[in-house]
Formats: sequence, C-alpha cells, structure tokens
Amino acid sequence: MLKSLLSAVRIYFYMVGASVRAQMQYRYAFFMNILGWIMHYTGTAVTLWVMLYSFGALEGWTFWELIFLYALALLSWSVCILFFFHFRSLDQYIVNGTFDRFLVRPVHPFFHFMAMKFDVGAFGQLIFSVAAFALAYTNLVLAWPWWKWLIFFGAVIGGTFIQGGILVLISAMAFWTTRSERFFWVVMFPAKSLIKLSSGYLPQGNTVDSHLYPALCFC
Amino acid sequence: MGHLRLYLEFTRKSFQRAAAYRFDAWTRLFSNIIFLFMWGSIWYGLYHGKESVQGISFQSMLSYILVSHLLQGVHSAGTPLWEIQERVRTGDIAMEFIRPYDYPFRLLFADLGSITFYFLIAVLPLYSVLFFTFDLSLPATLDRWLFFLFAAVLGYLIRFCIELTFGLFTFWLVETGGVEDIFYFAISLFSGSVIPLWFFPEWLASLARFLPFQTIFFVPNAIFVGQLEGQALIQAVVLQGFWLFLTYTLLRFVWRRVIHKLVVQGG
Repeated sequence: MLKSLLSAVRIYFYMVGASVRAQMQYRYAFFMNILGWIMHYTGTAVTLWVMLYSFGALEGWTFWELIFLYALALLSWSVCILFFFHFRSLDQYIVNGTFDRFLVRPVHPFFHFMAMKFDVGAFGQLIFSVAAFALAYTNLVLAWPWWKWLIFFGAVIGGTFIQGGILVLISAMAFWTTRSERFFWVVMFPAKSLIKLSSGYLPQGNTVDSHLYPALCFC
Repeated sequence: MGHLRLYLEFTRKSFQRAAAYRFDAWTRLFSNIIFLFMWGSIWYGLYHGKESVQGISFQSMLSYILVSHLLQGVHSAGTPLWEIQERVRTGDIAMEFIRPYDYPFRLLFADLGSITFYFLIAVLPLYSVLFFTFDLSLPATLDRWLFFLFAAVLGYLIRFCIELTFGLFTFWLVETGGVEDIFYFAISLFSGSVIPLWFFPEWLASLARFLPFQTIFFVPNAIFVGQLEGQALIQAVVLQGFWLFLTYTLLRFVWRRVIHKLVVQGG
C-alpha cells in the first residue's frame, strides 16, 4: 500500500516536472499568464475599494475584512487549480478521441490525467492571494495562536479538495454530453464569484477572529 | 457604404446562426442573471439602513444596475475579444484580407445579427419582467428614451472600436495576458458598468472623465436613471461623438498598419 503510494508520488512529480519544463519553454507567455492573473484579482480588489469609498462598509464589513475573506476563498481555489484546472478541457480529449491513450497506460486514467499538467500560470493567483492575505492580516492586527493556523490550513486543504471535486465532476459530465467546458465557465465561474462576494452576508461577529467560521463555510 | 446590402446579408446570416445555437443564448443569459443578482445583492448590502447616499436613492441605484446589466448583456452577444485574438494567432484573419469586404464593418454587421437575436429572445423579455416586478422608474419622456437609445448605440460603437483595436494589437504582442487584464479592468471600472462615477473618489472620477470608457456604459445608464439632464446630457452625448470619432480613427490607423504587418508563416 505504502509502496504503491510512494511510487505514485514519484510518478506524479516526474510527470509534473516534464509539464512544468514544457510550460517554461515559452517564458514570455508564462510570465504574461502569471501577470494576467495578478492583474485580474488586483482589479477586483481595487473595484471593491472604490465601492467602499462612499459607503464605508458592506453590511458592517470593512474593506480589509472583505479582502481577508476574498483572499481566503481565493487561496484554496488557487491551490485547487494548480492541480485540477486542466480538467476543464477533458471534453476536448473525449470528443477528439485522445482520451483513449489514458486508458491504455499502466496507471490509473484519473491519476494520469491529473499528473498530465501542473498549471504553473495559476501561481499568479497564489501570489495574489498570499499577498492579499498577508496584507489583510497585518492591517487587521491579527495575532493567531497556533491552533487557528491549523484550522486555517485545514480549511485551505479542505476547500482545495471540495472545489477540485466539483471541477472534476463538471468535467466528467463530458462523458455523457461531450461538452462540459462551456458549462464550467457559465456555471461554476459565476457561482464562485457569487459565493465569494456574498460571503459578506454570512454570520457576523464583532471580532475578526470569528471570520474564520464563514471562511470555513465556503472554502 | 454602397455595399449596405452585402453587409446586411452578414447580419441576416449571423442572426440565423444565433438562432441555430440557441443554447449559447441561454447560458449567456444565465450568467448575466447571476452577475445581476450578485451586484444587486452587493448594492443592497451597501445601502442597508441608508435612505440615499450622495443624493442617490436605492431605487435609482437599482435601475442603474439593471440597465447596466441589460447593456452588458447586449454587448456580450457580440464577437468576444478572444475570438479576434485567436483568429490573429491562428492566422485565420488572413482569409479576411483577401475577401472583398471591409473586415471591421463585416464584424460590426455580423454582431448586429447575433445581438438582435439575443436581445429579442432573452434580454428584452427578462428585463421587461424585472423592471415591471421591481416597479422601477423608467425614463418618463420620449426625449429621454431617445437620448438613452442614441447614447447606448454610441456607447456600443465606442466599445466595439476600442476592443477591436486592442484585439488587433495581438499582431504585435501575440501573447497579451497581463495587458489584457489591465484592459478589462479599465473597461469594467472606468466605464461605470458596476460602480457609477458619482461614487468614485474625486481624483479617480476626474481621471475617469478624461478616459473614453465612461462613454460606454456610464453615459447611457446615467441618462436612463435621470442623473444626466439638460446641458450636461447634451455635453455627454457630444463627448461620446468625440470619442467615437477618435476611437474609430485609431481603429482605422491600426487596421492599416496591420495590413502591412501581416506575417504568413509557412505559406
């Protein structure tokens, strides 16, 4: 059991390494991709700031508190897409018949597909969410004890798996419908934005520490 | 424009294509509703416990958001930017050069077809129901309606010119990731599509007034909810005309350069 797990990890890193090398070949595109993601989210944060300029707070949530929630939601999502984002193009493989090659290899097709790509471009999101989280953490003058950090990392890991699961679920619909990417963009993406921004309506607490609870709900 | 019949044929064809792929319209409508719902709730939250902010009541803010999403829905039915960029990258755009029509005009008229279909089947019914249910104020006079329609059309044309020009920059940049996101951000913020300019901090609002983007959504929206009236309204529409002229000239200039820039690999 342990042996096969270890070998799976080794194979995963080997394949992912190849994928990363392939993506790094186009350095300019690679850099632009990361920059694009950072710009995209910075834009949202700036929009949020402008919106709160005249209003001060959204149902009692101030700018940095909202950034904190936003960064938290984004953090698990960015980890998720590092590993799972390429599943969205699964339908192309199914339609073109290229998925068959995953079926004839001596590894599990799911594992093989997952290890096929490691979306390095998604680092842009990770960089943004970590930076935004750190900024919000400082601005809100938080001082978490170790167990809160534990819950925090648990929430990020849990959120990664839940969102990864949903992503794979939508992609797998392509086995029946042959089209799923569009469904992904029109359903999952707006739904995600909705959840992210409506998080402001979850239970309110006066101390920022209680934000961990809503954050856990949607992570 | 002696070839109007030719271009209208593209409009007809693209209307028929849109009618054949109806599922596209439904999914687009669905995401439009989601975003409308999202921004509606956010503004509801912002207004919570407040009668009016800076003289704007929640009712007129809600009309603003609705009409803004109506227009955005219409805009979204046109050819998306990535499709233009993809045509440049794959080289398909070369085929457009050798055909006996003007590509920007063909694109505009083709978009007119898909937009008409989408507007009739999705946007118009949905927003009629919404305005009726929420009992929101509509422009009271015929003048206001006409000014709104005129401003909305000008806004569409300005957005079209800007976006196509940007799409053509792909000829030089090829990969546009970071630049593209700044571009989208500029359009979404400075056009007033989600936040009206009157809620901007002073310095940002004056910056926005010097940019062309505010003429895309902000001007028609503000006319619709009655925030632009009299002298200011005329000025805003004249400004739209000015920006349309400028962006169109820029588009033509870039288009001419593009024709010289065309690189055919392996041809």
